[in-house]
Amino acid sequence: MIRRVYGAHPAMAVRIIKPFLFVLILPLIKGVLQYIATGEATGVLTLEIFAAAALIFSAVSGVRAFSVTVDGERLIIRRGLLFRSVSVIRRERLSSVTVRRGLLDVLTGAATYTVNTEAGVAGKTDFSFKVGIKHAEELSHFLYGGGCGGEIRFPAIKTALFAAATSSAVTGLLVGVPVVNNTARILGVAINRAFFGNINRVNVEFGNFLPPAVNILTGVIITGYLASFTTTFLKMLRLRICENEEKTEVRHGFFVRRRVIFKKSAINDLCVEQTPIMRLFGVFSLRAAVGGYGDRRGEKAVIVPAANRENIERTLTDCFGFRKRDGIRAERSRRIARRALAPAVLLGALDVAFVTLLSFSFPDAFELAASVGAVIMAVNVYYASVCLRECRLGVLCLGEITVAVGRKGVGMREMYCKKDRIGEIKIIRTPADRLSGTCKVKLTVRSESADSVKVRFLGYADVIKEIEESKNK
Amino acid sequence: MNFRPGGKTIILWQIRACSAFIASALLFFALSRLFAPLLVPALCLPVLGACASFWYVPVFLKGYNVHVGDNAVTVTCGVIIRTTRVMPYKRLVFAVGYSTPLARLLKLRGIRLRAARADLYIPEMAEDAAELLIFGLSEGEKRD
Repeated sequence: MIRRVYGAHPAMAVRIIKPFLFVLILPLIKGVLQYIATGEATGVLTLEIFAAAALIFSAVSGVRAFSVTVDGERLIIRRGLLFRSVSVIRRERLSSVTVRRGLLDVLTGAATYTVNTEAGVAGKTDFSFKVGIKHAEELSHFLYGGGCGGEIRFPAIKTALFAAATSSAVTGLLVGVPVVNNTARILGVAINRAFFGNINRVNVEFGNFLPPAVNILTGVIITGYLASFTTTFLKMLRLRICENEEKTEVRHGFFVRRRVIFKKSAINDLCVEQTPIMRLFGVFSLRAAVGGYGDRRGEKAVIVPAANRENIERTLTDCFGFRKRDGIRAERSRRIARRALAPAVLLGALDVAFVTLLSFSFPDAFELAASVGAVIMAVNVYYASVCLRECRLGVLCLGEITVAVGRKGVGMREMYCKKDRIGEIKIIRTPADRLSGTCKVKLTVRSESADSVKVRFLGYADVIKEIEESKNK
Repeated sequence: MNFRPGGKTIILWQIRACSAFIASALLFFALSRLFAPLLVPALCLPVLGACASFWYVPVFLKGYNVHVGDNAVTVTCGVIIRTTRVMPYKRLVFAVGYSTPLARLLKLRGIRLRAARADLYIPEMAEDAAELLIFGLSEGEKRD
């Protein structure tokens, strides 16, 4: 039986004392208060030395008391000197391990090691500690075996496309900025027309205030979207994925390098998604939901940032054994298409009514109303196209491998998961559904931040039959 | 296999409860110099502390039962309202043993069982029994 014990890297001392550094300010505050009250400050240095000594002692003892033991099938983590805790985890219960190397880690030869399970609080890691880089590699080897098979690398352009499409950067830059600019310009024109010659001072005030305000707002939007794009791009740059039958390893990051290993059995579901920008380029992204994934216990692991349909399907089949099968398709008829378009038509009608009402009420603001109305109408037209697409592509297939294809916001989502990972199947029937013999099915995966897909316009009788059949399978 | 908190555990929790109530009473007593009505809680707290330490804690801990079965851990507790919590081994992710300086002085250790979205606390028990339970729960053969 393999038994290895790993101690913490000295760099972990910094990590231990970081939350308690405020203690060093307390003697200074005491000194200031004392000075204000009595006109002199005594004992500040002594207290400061005591506080620093206490911090150093707690850091050193914390590092000394920490150990990770690999004992056969068990991982034992011991922490704390005064308040001791011993955690015993079976290897099969681990969801993912992450090795993260920031600049400080590279300089000190350490690595931040994160061990996550399905238990615990979402967004908060289960166990995070620093070990030497060699120990980190050894530990990963013990926990998840040797190296993976072939490595897939993703070029920077694909990562950029993924970053642009998922951080809404391009959407913001292409749509948000011109709309804000144009609206503000037309608003200025409307105000000029409305108040010209009547309240001259107000007009001048607006004239002085509006252009800088619009420029600032535009600048803020551009900066925000660029920051979002850059962060995602740098985080996902140098993305490499390698996998074998049991595990998948994901490496990414430019400045801060991350390496996450997770078992395929820990995967809750796989989602193929296409955002509006991705639709423009005809590509899809593939991500896995893994219970307790990564260095902040999220759930999303990007497997393929951007690829065409064929490549995505090949990855699904070859790497994860998920194959798209024929299932119940959304009903296709004129009546269903009309129902699918109903929300968009209603929104369109409301838009036209709004523009007309605004134009009649404020004739000077006609251009502004028309411009805003046109933008809303353009979004609505896109929404209508997505609704029609949903009718065309909606699929539900229940079985050992469950597949659900439906609309999620203004994008499409395909969800693949194993039968035992399904948390809930919800059948919803509105009066309109009852009239046309259809229903909506909402499929929710059993996980901490559960993914779900709603498939609309499915034949009710077919769904009931499929559920009965899947029970017997 | 059944585990029940022993006499030492009761003493530990009595010390803890007493300390907490005495500290709170002293704080209220000190503050009552600034605001006289705070003297009421300062006087009530020791009485409550005595009730908690010498009636509630012993009754609660004596009624605490941990049953380690073939398929699940079952914890039954409560004084007025009895609650039974069952955690199947299938759902158990890992076990944590924890101890404070005072508990170590009495050779006791507490256990926390962690499952996805649920935690189960088992109060301090003798170190040997706790060790047996922690490592026993993580044994494969006990799982379904």
